[in-house]
Order: sequence, then C-alpha cells, then structure tokens
Amino acid sequence: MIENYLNGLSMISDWGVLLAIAAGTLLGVVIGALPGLTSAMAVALLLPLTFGMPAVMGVGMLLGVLCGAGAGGAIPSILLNIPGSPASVATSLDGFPMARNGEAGRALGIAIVASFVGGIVSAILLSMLAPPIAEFALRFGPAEYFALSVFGLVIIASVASQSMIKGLIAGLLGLFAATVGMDPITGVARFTFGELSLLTGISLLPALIGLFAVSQLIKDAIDYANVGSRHDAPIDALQIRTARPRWRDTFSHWRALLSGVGVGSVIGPVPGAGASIASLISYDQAKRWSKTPERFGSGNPEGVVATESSNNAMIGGSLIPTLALGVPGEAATAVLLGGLLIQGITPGPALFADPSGTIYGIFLAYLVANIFMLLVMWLGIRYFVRILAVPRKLLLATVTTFCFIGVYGVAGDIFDIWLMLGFGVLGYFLNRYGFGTAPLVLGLILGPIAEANLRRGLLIFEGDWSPFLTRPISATFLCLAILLLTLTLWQNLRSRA
Amino acid sequence: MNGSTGSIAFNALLLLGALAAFFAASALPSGNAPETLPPAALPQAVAVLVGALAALCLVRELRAWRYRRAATKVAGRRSATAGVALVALMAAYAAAFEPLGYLLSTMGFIVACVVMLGFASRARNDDEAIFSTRSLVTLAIIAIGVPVAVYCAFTWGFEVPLPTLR
Repeated sequence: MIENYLNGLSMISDWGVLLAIAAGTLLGVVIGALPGLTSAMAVALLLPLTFGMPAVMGVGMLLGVLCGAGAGGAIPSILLNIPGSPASVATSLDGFPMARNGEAGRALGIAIVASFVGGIVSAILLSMLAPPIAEFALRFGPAEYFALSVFGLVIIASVASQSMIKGLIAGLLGLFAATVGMDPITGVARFTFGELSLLTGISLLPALIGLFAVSQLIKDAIDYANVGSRHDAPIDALQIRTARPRWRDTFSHWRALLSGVGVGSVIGPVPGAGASIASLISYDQAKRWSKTPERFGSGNPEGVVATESSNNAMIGGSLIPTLALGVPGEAATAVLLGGLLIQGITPGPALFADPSGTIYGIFLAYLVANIFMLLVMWLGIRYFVRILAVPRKLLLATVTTFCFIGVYGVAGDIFDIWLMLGFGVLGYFLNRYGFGTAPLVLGLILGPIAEANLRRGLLIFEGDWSPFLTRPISATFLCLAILLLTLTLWQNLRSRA
Repeated sequence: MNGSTGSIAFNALLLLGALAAFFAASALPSGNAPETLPPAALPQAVAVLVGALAALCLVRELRAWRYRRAATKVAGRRSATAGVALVALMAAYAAAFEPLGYLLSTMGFIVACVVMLGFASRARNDDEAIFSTRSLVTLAIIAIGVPVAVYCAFTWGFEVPLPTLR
C-alpha cells in the first residue's frame, strides 16, 4: 500500500504536473464563479487542453478544475444570490443574506474553509474507502434508486421556506417538467409539441440558470428601479478585504461541518445523485441539528458551512463510483470519465490492480488540488470579486449576457435560451408568491431517476410493488422519507399553533 | 398566505395549468410495456396532485383576501415596468442572438439594458446618472470590451463557436 502511494507521489512530484493542477484549479474557480458556467462545463471546456499531457498531469488538471469550480461557485451565490453552479444553490440560502447583513467577507471565509475541509476529507475517504463504498453502491437496484429519489423529493417539503404545500407544488411542477421528452421505457414522446430540442427532455442547465439567475435578475431590476443603485450595492470593498479563511469560525459550527461532510461523502458515491442534492440534503440536516434552526435562511453561517463542505465532500465521493466502477456520480464526473478514457485510463477494478500505481497518483493529485483550491481562493478572492465593483446596472446587463452564453455554449441551441427565459419568469413568480425555486429544481433532477427506476423495477418484479417495500436499503430510504414528512408536518402544525 | 390579487391569480393559473396538463397527458399513447406503468401515469398523477394543492392554496388565498379586503401591493408601477422591460429586452436579445451574431446583439443588449435601468432609477435622484461623461465611457468600455473578450475566450480559448452576423 505504502509503495503504491510512493509511486503515486513520484508521479505528481513534478513541476509540470503541479503547475497543471494549479492552473486547472485557478481556471476552475474563475469558471465556477461565473454564473451559468457549471463545473461540468468547466471540465468539458478545458478537456481539450489536456490532450497532449501525460495521464496523471491531464487528469490532475481536470481534478483541479472540478475542485476549483466546486468552490468558486460559492462566490456569486454569496455575493449576488446567483449560484455559480447547481451545487451552490443551497449556499445562497444563507450566504446571500449574510452578505446583505454586511458579512460577505465572513461568509466567503467560511465557505473557503468548509470547501477545503470537505475536499480534504473526501480525498482521504476516496483513497481509503473506495473499494467497500463502491461495493455498497453496486447493490443498488431500481427499487433502491426509486426509494432514494422519494427520500430526496420529501426533502422538498422541508426546503420550502414559507409553506409545505407551496413547496410540494413547486416540487411537483419540477417532477412534471421532468416528464417532458422521450418516455424512458416505451420511447413515447411526451409534451414535446413537435419541438426536437425537447425530445431529450428539459435540459437542466437552462432550467437552473432561468430559475436561479434570470429570476433573480428580474427581481434585481425591479429592486433597482425601486431604490436605485445607492442602496442596493451588494457589498463594499471593506467586506471583501475581510475575506480570508475563517478556521475558528468554521470549526465552531462543527455540527454543520460534520453533517455537510457526512452527507456529501454518503451521497457522492450514489450515481446520479449529484452535488445539488447533496448540498440541499446537508442544508436540511444542518437545519435539523442546529440549535437555532429559525435563523436558517436569514444569514446563518451554519447554512454556508453545511452546503460548502458537502459540495466538496461530494466531489470526492462521486469519484468513487467513477474510478472504481466506471459509473459517474454526477454530470461533472461524467465529463471527467470521458477525459480519463481520452487519457487511456479505463476506470474500473482493473485500474486499482494496475502495478504502475496510476490510481494512487490520481488520489494524490486530487488531494493536492484541494490544497491549491484553498490557496487560490485565499489569495485570489479579492480579485475574483472585482466584478462587484462594476455599477449594478452594468453588472445586471453583463451577468445576463453570461447567462445567455453559458446556456448557448453547451449545445449551441437557441431553444435553450428561450427555455431559460421561460423558467426565469416562472421562477420570479414562484419566489414572489412564496413557492420557492429550489423544490422545482429538486423535482426536475429527481424526476427522471424516480420514474425510470420505478417503472424499470415494476418490469423486473413483473408488476409486483412489494419489493420496493421489502428490500432493506429501499425500505430504509422509504422509512426515512416517511419520518421526515411526519416530522416536517408536525413542526409546521406546532409552529402554527 | 397574503391574499394578494397576484397570488390569487397565480394559484388560479396553476389550477388551470394542472387541468390542461391532465388532459394533455390523457391523450398520450399507452406504449408497449404492459407490466409497467403507462407513459401517462406519472404526469397524470402529478397533475392531479398539483391541481388539488393549488385549489387548496387558492381557497386559502381567497379567504385571506376576503378578510383583508385589500390586495397587497408589492411593487410600484415604475419598478414593475422595469421588470417587464428587462424581460422584453431579454426576449429581443434572444431573438437577435443568432441573426445579428453574438457580438452585435450583446453590445446592443448591454447598452439598451443599462439605459433602461438608468431611466428607471434616474427619477429617484440616483447619483449614478447614465448620461454623465464618466458613466458613458464606462458603458462604452463594458459594452464593447466584455463581449469582445468573451468572444475571443470562447472562440479561440475554449474553441466554442459563437454565432456571427449572417
């Protein structure tokens, strides 16, 4: 074992490799900080740069991008309430109110440390627990995936801030939107109205940017007209100067940190689960464990600690099935999987048995990427947030153009832009009338997983529903879902009384 | 529940949308997999649930409205106009994105957006008046510089083609 790690260490102990990881991390943070440019897109955009590189150097750079984009997404989430990536959606719930309360520097400092801790813990877990966790994830069948999706959908009720019923409506709208496109079992086209772009379903990126960015831009324009730019500047330079890693502050919220790292590490290896689900679940868990749950949503640092540690812990977790089984944990690792194949690395058990020790080089590269992420964020944060010195109306206009280019750049389809605008208007009204947009996103993400696995399961079990309730893992998830629903209903009734 | 006219209208729209979705789902073909649920099952179930919950919300909103006897005014006319104007500008930008190309449409959008927001806030004694020399220079730099920089980065840096003038 030690010999393998020494081999891996010799692979990354090269200036070229270290520079590639550092450059990847820097670019990842920059791209992650741009609203609408996700970590998956960051990895995809920088993939061509790695073609001519040796395997560990190329993969190291991509891991740096993944790491940097995961952490960089927190910057616009906290400062502009516009998530840099879907994984940072939950960060804005408390990060943005903190910035509004004059604590932008503190929120960013906490986010940096929480991301670093989450990343380092996940790197250690990745290298130590990959085989057993991958083995566990292998046991998941359709019943388990369906139960996991139901569990995630129940979170909708708790995420919705104002009313559980409105949260459920928004979640169901997402679930309905997820049924658009080709039916996963029969191939029947549903609600496509002859539009070819809808055959593969509603793309997540336009929906996310519409719901979180465009809706916010519309609200910002209205706020701007209401109060003018003098009163709504999100933060001042003094606050950014205080944006340095807040070690003690972060560790003082150890419950949130533990829940974030724990949830991210557990959800990460589950294929298809994704960082957005991990961060929303960890936010919910942190709220439950907190001594001051009522402060969540109004600028509680625990919210930022939980979501940011979870985001980065999730990256390492999602690498487990990607590397051990060749099954990507989420979109960004799916792109990374493509990068590994281009580099001539075939993920799977054989990779772990490779005597050259490449896998250990990859483990160590990921660890180093997290250290670089801390340094890049620490030293560069005041430069990354320069964009906020631009007058508000110029910022609104330029961020809008970034949303357009971010959506258009992925597939080059103008339909995606119209989709984004539609979701933007819907998101504005959902927020204005207290429904929230996060439940809709969760429904949109979990809908296809839930439906495909439910129907696939029924096919396998010949129409029998009982295995969904009797298989131990599936039963555990369903019991947890019922427990969460009951608890939320009880809490709602108690607060009303 | 705030009982505002907008909130009532939004819930009513949701209810109508759920009804329309249910009937649209009913028209879907059943497919050829008898041992599993038909393609219409989930959309229909979701539409029923959305309809039921939206009806519940609507009843609550109407009850709140009856007690309050007044609709809640969230945004004034000027601010609401700014929101509508921004959406209209975005739609125009989307429509011009491919025919005019990325560069021209983006430059036009930035200028139009900033001028619109400048007008919207100018009546409120905004210090940052759009027509001052300094702000015009800033606007020109941003409106030309940002699209050109982004275009170069995407076209030559990331090798992602962006639309050009047809």
